[in-house]
Amino acid sequence: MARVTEIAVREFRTTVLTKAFLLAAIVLPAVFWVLGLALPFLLRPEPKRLEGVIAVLDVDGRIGAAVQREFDVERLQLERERRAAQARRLLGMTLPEPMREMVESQAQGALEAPLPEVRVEVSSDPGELESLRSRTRVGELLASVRVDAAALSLAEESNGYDLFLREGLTRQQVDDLQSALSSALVYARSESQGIDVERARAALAKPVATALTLRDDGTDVQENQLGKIFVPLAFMMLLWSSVWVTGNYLLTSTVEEKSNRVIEVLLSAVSPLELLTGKVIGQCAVGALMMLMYGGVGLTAVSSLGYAHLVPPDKLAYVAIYFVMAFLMVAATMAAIGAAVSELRDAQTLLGPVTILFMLPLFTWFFVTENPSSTFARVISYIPPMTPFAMVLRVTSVESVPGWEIALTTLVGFGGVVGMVWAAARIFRVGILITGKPATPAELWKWVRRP
Amino acid sequence: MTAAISIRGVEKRFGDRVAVAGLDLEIPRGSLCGVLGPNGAGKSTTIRMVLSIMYPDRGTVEVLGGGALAAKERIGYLPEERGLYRTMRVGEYLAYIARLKGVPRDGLAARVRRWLERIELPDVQQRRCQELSKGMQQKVQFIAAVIHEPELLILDEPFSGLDPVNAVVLDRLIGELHREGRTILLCTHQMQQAERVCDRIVLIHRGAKRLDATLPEIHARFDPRSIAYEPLAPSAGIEGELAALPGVLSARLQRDGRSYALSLAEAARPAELFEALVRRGPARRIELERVSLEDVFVRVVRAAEGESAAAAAREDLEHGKGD
Repeated sequence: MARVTEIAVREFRTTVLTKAFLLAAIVLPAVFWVLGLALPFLLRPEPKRLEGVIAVLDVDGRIGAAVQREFDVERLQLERERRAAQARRLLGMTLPEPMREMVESQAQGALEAPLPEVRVEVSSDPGELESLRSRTRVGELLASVRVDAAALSLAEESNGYDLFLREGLTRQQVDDLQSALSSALVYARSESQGIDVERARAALAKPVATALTLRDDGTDVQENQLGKIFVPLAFMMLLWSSVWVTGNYLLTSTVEEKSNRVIEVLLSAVSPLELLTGKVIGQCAVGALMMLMYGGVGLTAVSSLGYAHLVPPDKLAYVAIYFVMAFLMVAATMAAIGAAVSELRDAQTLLGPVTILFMLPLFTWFFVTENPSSTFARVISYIPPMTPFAMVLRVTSVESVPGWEIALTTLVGFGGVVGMVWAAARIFRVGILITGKPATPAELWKWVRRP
Repeated sequence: MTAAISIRGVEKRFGDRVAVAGLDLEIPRGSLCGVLGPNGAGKSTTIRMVLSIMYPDRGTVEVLGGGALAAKERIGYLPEERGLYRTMRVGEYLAYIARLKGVPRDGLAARVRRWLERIELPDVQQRRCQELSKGMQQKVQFIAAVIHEPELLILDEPFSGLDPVNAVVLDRLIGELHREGRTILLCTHQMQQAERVCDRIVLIHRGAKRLDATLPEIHARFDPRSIAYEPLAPSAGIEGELAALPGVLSARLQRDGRSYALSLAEAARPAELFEALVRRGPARRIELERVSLEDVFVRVVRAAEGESAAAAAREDLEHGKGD
C-alpha cells in the first residue's frame, strides 16, 4: 500500500503543480468569481442622453402635439417612476433577497440617469420638408419627422411616419426616438377614436401573479423555473468536465511513461496493478479537487444569490457518489487506452467511439432533465458508462427519483466499474510493455481474455 | 546457500514466436554473471520474468530463495530501454524510485547525495532530468537501479551509448558492488565487455542456453592451444625450425607475413615453448593465443545447431556491434 500511496502522491503533485492546472482549477474559478461579483457593476448601463431639437412635419397637427407630450419632462419622470415601481413589485415576488438587492441597485441607477431633453418644433407646411431634411443633415436638428397624412386612420396601408436622423446617433438613442414617436402616434390615434389612453393602458396591464410551492416541511417557496433546468445541467457539466479532464491527465501520463521508457523501471518496483491503482487514486484526488474548486465557486454563487435550496445536501451526496463512479469508469478506460498505444495521437483513434458513449447523456440533457422518468432516461441509467451522468441529471432535476431506482442503478453502476477496472487492468498489464504499433480492438479483447 | 536466480524449464512465447525455449539456469549468489547473446536471443524476456514484469508460459522462476514478485525490493534493475521523467528534478526522481523500492524516508536525501557523489555527479540534484546530457542521464538511471542497495542487480546493456570516460566510472562501480557481495547479472551483446568484467558467462541463442561456465572453464575448454610468434628478424627456413620444436604440431606463416601460428600438441607445455622461443633470438611478440567469447559463441552455436546457424549467429553479433 505504501508504494501505491507513493505513486498516487506523485501523480497528484505532478498534475496539480503545473501552470496549466493552476490556471484551469484555481485561477479560472477565482476569475469567474471576481467577474461574477464585478460584472453587474461593470456592465451597468450608461445611456447617452437624448438631447436636441426634433422637427415634426404634421399637416393635421394632432400628432405633433402628441410628440411634444411624449418629451414633456414631468411626464417622462412620472412614467419612469411608474415603470420602476411595477418592476420592483414584479421582481420582489420572483427573486430571492440577494438578487432583489442587486436588481434594485440597478433599477435605482436607471432612475437616477438623466432624462431626455428634447424640444419639439411642429410645422404643418409640407413645403418645408426639404428644409427640415437639410437642417437635420447639417446637425442642426436631432431628427426630422414627416407624419403620413393617413397616420391617424386605422387603415393598415398607412406608414405612420418617416424619420430622418442626423449622423452619429447611438442605437439606444434611435430606439428611444422611435419608441417615443410610435407612442405619440398610438396616443393621437386613440384620442381621435375617443379612447381614454390612460384607462385603456391600465385595463390592458398584465396582472403579476405569485406562484408559491408548498413544501412538505411546511414552508412556501417561490421556485426559480430556469434553475430547475440549469441546475442539473450545471451538475452534469461539473461531473463530466472534472472526470474527463482528469481522465485525460491519466491517459497522458500513462502514454508519457511508456514513451519515455520509464515504465520498465517502475514495473521493476511495483506490479502493473499497483501502478494502475496508484495512478487512478492520484488522478481521482485531482478530479475531486477540481470538483471542489468549480463546485465551491458555483455553490457560493448560488447561495449568495439566494438559490441555495436548489442544491440541497442530499443531492450533493449523490453527486459525490456518482463522481467516484464516473471517475473510475473514465479512468479505467483512459488507463487501458494509454497502455495500448505508444503515442498520444494513436490514442485519439481508440478514444473517439468511447467518447461518444460517455457523451450521450450530455447530448440529451434537456430531454432527461425535463423527463427524468421517461423510458429513455431510465434505460440509459442502467447502461454503466452512462449511468453516473444520466443519474446526476435525474436526481438533481425537480422530479424525485424513487429510492429503489437510485439503489439499483448505483449497484449496476458499480458493477460496471468492477468490470471495466478488471478489463482495464488486464489490458494495462499486457499493453504497458508493448511499444510500436497501437493495439487493435481485437488485440485488446485478446489481452482481456489472456489468463 | 540457495542460488540467487533459479530458472527451471522456462518457456515464453509471443504469439507464434518462441522468445525463451525451455531455459534452465542457476546464478550463484555473489557471482558477476554475464548473460550474452545477440539481439533477440531472449535475454531481456528472461530478465523480465526474473523481475516478475512478465510471467513464463511454462516452468518456474525463483529469485533470492522465493517467488519473483516477493523479491522485487531486493532487486535492482537497469533496463535496456531506460528513461526518466523529463521534468522531474534528479533528486526527486531518485527519491521517488527509492521509496518505491522500500527505502525509508529517514536519511533518504543523504543517500541520494551520497550516490550522486559516488557516481561523480555531485551538483545535479536540483536540476531537471531533461537538462542533463545523455551520459549524465545514464548515470542517474544507474543510481535508480542501485539506490536501495539490492542483493541482486540486473543490468541490461549497461554500457550501451556510454562514452569511454563514463564507461570507466560504471565499470568501477560494478566492480565495487560485486566486491560488496552483491550478485550481478549483466546482460549484453558486447562480448569483450563481459569477458573483461564477468566471472561467469551464460550464452543464450534463440531462447535457449548454449553455454554456462566460469571464464577459466571456458578458456580451458575453448582455447586454441596456439602460440603467436613474431621474430624481430625473419630468417630462411624458420617455418621448419619452429615446427621441429618439442610439442609443436605445425607452424604456419600468418596473413600479415611476419608472424607464425604454432599449433601445440595436447601434452605440450606452453611455458617450456616460451623459453625455447626466447632462446631462438629477439622477438617482437610471443603470445599464447586466447579464444574470444565471440568465437566461443559461434562454435557453441555451430555444435548445437549446425554451420548455417553459426554463420547466422556471427552475422547477428556483427550486427549487434553497431548498437
